[in-house]
Amino acid sequence: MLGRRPLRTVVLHGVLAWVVVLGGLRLLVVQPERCGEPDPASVRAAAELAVGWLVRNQAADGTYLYRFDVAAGTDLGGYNVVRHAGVIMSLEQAATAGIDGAAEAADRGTAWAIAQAVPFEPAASAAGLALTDDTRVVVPVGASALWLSGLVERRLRTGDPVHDELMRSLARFLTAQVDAEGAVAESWDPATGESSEKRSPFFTGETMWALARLHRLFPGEGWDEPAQRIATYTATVRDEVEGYEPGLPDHWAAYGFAEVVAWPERDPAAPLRPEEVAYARRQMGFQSMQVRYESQRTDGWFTHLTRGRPTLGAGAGTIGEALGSWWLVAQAEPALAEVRDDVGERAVCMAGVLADRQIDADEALAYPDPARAEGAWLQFGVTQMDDQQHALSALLLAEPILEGRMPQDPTGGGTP
Amino acid sequence: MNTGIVVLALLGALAPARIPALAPAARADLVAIGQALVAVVLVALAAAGGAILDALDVSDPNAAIAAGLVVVLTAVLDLVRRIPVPVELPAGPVAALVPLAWPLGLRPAAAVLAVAAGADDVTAGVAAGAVVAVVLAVAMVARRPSEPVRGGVQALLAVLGVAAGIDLLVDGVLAV
Repeated sequence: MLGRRPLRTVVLHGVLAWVVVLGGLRLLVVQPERCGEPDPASVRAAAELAVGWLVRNQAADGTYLYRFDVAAGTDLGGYNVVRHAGVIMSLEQAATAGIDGAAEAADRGTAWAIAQAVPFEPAASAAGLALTDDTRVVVPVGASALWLSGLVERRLRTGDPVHDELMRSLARFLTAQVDAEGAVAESWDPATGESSEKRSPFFTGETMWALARLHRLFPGEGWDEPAQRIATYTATVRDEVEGYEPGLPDHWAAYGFAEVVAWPERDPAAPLRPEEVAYARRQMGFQSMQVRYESQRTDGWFTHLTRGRPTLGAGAGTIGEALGSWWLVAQAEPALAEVRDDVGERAVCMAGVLADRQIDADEALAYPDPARAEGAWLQFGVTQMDDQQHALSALLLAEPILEGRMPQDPTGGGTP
Repeated sequence: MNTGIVVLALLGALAPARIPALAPAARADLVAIGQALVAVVLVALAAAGGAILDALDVSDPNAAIAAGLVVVLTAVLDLVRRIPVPVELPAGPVAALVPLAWPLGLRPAAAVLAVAAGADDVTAGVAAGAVVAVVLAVAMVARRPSEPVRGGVQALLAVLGVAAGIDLLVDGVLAV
């Protein structure tokens, strides 16, 4: 028929359109999200392997193996006191979860940290202590914050008051780094006594978390006031003031708000303020997007090309930590009830991804030094202690979600 | 996913105002049967949306992103492409199935949207959008509006489809 497209052509075009659209979507937009098949046993096994790596590779002086080329069997050296404190904190979490060896390795790390701490003696406020190391000119605020969080975890688990004054000393240092608006200095210079005007993307949330936890441990001592200042700053103006667009995904703030929802002063029917609910919801979206993307990455060439390489163990771990902590917040905050299941699903997915990517005992045998490979997460054949730290914490936070229970109190804070 | 957005996105993806231009010789009853078949398939896809996404290891938000993307692309193409040459229709009622139901009626963007919406428990939005599309297509074939009117309706639905698709895309990116 003149002027009409033949039916055969139309059908062929139709088939082609479906193949191109559906095939293109699958190849480029919705690749499979590989969350593995995490269950309580596999997640616990992965966490134990991670603890094993940290324990086996701890030096006699209490420091942990920092950076290691697993593929070549070479110690790459270096050290970072903030990450040292982070490892203590994760090991304390693991000890609370009942993993053997974690508490002792954390105590050895704390013994090293005590020897590194320097006095903080401002003229205008009470003296304190700050964690640093002898390679640094200025003191990174985050080291004291993460160490304090770890010590609070230990105190809540053991009831042992041996570090109570140390914790208060660290908290006094941290409180002095919080300005009137709630921003936290990146560092403090012992030579001048001045705090830096710079801000860290991490230390703000770390300081909020540490002080928020200390308030739960020692209510009535006033640690909630600076913690609340930081919380308000973080939830309202930090992204704008510090230049994070569209917003900084902050797993440390997630930990912090998981404590805040359990503060005795908060109303259990609405533990978060409206601006805090809005912040939590945005953060959940940022982190969900990341796990949905990260879980599409594999070691195959095609996902390297279209999604990039799998991220560091530390990177994947922080996503899991954030989602696990936000899950705790969502359990406590009725205004977030509608996203509870989704945020839990994403946290579990990240735990599954981490468990799948970890070097297990069999895979470790293929490397020159299996003891330094087993339990590690690698990128380009290299692991760093914070890969194990963040991944371990993420796995521990996923355990109660998989088991359908709230964690033991010291682990995460929030109670429904 | 918002029900109203799903309705608008589905109308943008199905573009029922194209049918009178693509099949000017089609009988209204056959168009009605064809579009009703499309509606049934879309609702079935929506009902199976969760299972389909589980089988493909795709999360609801990522499916929403995919749906938003193809709806926007489809609607933009409908806006900028010239009116296609009419299609040769087979004799008899088989025309209701091929080509009226498929490939002219059921388009991939609509199918992807139905799956994504169904997985997000918005099957009602898919059903509503599909019913509106049936009514629009049948009404336009029966009444034979002038080409400017038909083209205006098609353009309006395409613009709404682009807006709704962008909304789906953004919601999918920011979803938990």
